[in-house]
Amino acid sequence: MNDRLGRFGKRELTAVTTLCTLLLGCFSTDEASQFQNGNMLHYATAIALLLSLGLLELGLYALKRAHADGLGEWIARLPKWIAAALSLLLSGVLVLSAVLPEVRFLRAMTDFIYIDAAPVSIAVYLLPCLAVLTMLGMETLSRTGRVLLPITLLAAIIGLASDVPLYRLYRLYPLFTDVESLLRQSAGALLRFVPIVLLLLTVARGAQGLDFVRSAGRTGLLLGGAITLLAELALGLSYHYTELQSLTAPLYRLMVEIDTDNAAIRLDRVVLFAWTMAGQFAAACSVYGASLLLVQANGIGDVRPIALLLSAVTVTMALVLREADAMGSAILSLLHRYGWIVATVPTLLLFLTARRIPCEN
Amino acid sequence: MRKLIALLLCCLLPFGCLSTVDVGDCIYVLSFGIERGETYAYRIVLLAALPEAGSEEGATLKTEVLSAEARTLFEAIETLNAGLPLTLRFSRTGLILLSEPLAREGALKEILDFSLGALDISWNVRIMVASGALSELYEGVQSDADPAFSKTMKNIERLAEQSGTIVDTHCRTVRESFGTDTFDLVLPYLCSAQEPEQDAVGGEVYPKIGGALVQKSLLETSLIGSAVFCGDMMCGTLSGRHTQLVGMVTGEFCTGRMPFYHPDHGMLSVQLTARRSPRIRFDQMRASVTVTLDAETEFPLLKTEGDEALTDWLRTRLEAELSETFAALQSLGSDAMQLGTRDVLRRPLEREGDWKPQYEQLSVSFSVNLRLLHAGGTA
Repeated sequence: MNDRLGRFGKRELTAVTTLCTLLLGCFSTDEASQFQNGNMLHYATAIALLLSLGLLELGLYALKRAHADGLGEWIARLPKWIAAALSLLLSGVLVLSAVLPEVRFLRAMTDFIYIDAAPVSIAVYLLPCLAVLTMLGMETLSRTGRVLLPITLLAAIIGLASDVPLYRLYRLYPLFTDVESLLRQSAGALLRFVPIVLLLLTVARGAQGLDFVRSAGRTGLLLGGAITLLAELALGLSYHYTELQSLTAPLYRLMVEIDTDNAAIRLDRVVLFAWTMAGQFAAACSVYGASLLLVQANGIGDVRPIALLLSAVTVTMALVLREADAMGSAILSLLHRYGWIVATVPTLLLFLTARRIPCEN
Repeated sequence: MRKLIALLLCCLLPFGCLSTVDVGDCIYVLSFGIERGETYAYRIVLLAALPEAGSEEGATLKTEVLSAEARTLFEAIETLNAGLPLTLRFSRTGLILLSEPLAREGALKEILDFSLGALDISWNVRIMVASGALSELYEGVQSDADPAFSKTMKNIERLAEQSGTIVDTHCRTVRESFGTDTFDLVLPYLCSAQEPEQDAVGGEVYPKIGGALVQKSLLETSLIGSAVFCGDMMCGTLSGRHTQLVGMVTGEFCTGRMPFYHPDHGMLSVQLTARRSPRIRFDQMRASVTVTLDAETEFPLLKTEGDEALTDWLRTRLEAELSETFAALQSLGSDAMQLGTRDVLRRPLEREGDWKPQYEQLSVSFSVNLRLLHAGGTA
């Protein structure tokens, strides 16, 4: 089987996990519903991160008990139709985790940089980038991630630090609205991090063992999650929740709305492109994970055609959701609201029923 | 595989840019202002940068004042575009002026709502209120010393930081004020008029920021203090001195010089510097504001009186002026001192929205911690 998985170390996997957590954490939120009654995004993110860490531990335990090297291989042991349905569902979740940030980047590119360009003109350039990265496989992606990580962290630091003099505590208030909203937002936030758990378990065979996956996964989720939380706090200190409801690309706006004409304001587009590169990388990792899961679970011989297909599906869906305006917003809203159920419930059921899946002797 | 990837990448290279716009094909609008028109509803006045005829591309700029009247702002811009050889571009606009009558009608919010996105104006654009005809004001800011208008903008920032007599307000603050119920706006106020007039607090009349009179300057237009808002409507003006006092409470005041008339020693010029952020405490419907300042005066004769007496005198004067300024703002219904942002902090679980009724009933006491330094900076 040509799965383009290759071999990679703990550092590479940590870089991949950190980048994916950071990008999916920052660019997969639904502002319209998230900030309706206040700003509890940082609480919801923290809770969702902890739950995802728990899900990772559960998944690794299930894999270890089943003596399986990866999630795809483990699903392949199920009856054929169940394996096909489950792999499609979980691959769909991974593709969705790539679509959501792509929509945001497409919107940022067309709203702030290429203002007179049609979104399809931008999407044409995103597609080969995504497809090529995905087809090159996990070994290339992991090494690329190690190079991209410092650049992305620097872009994040520059973006957050440039606005420090304008942070005000009163913008975070009210600090807490109600428990029901918090639980709902935390559940919705799972859609941002559960795909990363699925990705880690899918590519586990390429790492140097499940213990490395555990270590890299924990470090990546915690580091990426910490920076995501910092970014969300920074947004909360910069903008009131009533402004955040309708703000496009708030992290980019942090940089262009600083009051003084200093060096940082000249870096806004550089920072945006750094984020976009990292966003394409994170999307490529998700799409590769989806492709690998499908080929392993269904016994397909080569991952590259599936990777190409899913890359095209990702960019097309992002373009449709970007272009569809009101309908696109409604679909996105539904995905944010209920997508976590599709992501979490089958995954949880799969892990909890580990005992019933036949082990390989 | 590598050859295929290389071929794919090469195929992307011939596409080039998505579209090109030559810099020489554009007129960049450095600032634009909106006022009531004589024939139609609005007059839009632009300060635009044009390359000097006959010069190398981009070598010399000259500014032109353009204007058009129309029923809507977009009509006015289209009218201008139709009559110009080049395309108007707003991406370099650094300043938006709103005439005082429009500001008093509450038009600022509506103008910002559509103009920023539709005209591709930078989000850190400055907003000011202008008294008088905008064409005259723009002609008053044209100067060979600063054809691109950039040094004037930088000077505004420096003046706000080093004197505190004006505020440097950007679109972000304006949007926040309109979107939340926590504070009211204070915008820079400029004009080219020479007649003295009183501000909302009263007391001395002022033609210019420091109470002085400009005899001759490179610019005929200058900043003369600030315009205060109640919600989205302008409700009054503040002189440079009262703007400094408001800044002391909001925490925006860094340093600035204030003249005081001492009955025994005549006119004192005191350099005040904020030593730390102001402290504001609430107790039911009462608030106490503590401002901490260093005062520097260069009158060695005053040492005969003793620092303590002078310190007490200065402190009492400042506290009285702060109270007067707050009373005037409260009567206008304007929370320019941003006390609402502090009120939010004492109700961490409640949503705001009922601040203004409380603000009208609020009783505020001011205390000033003053440390007197003499020339040389030592206490």
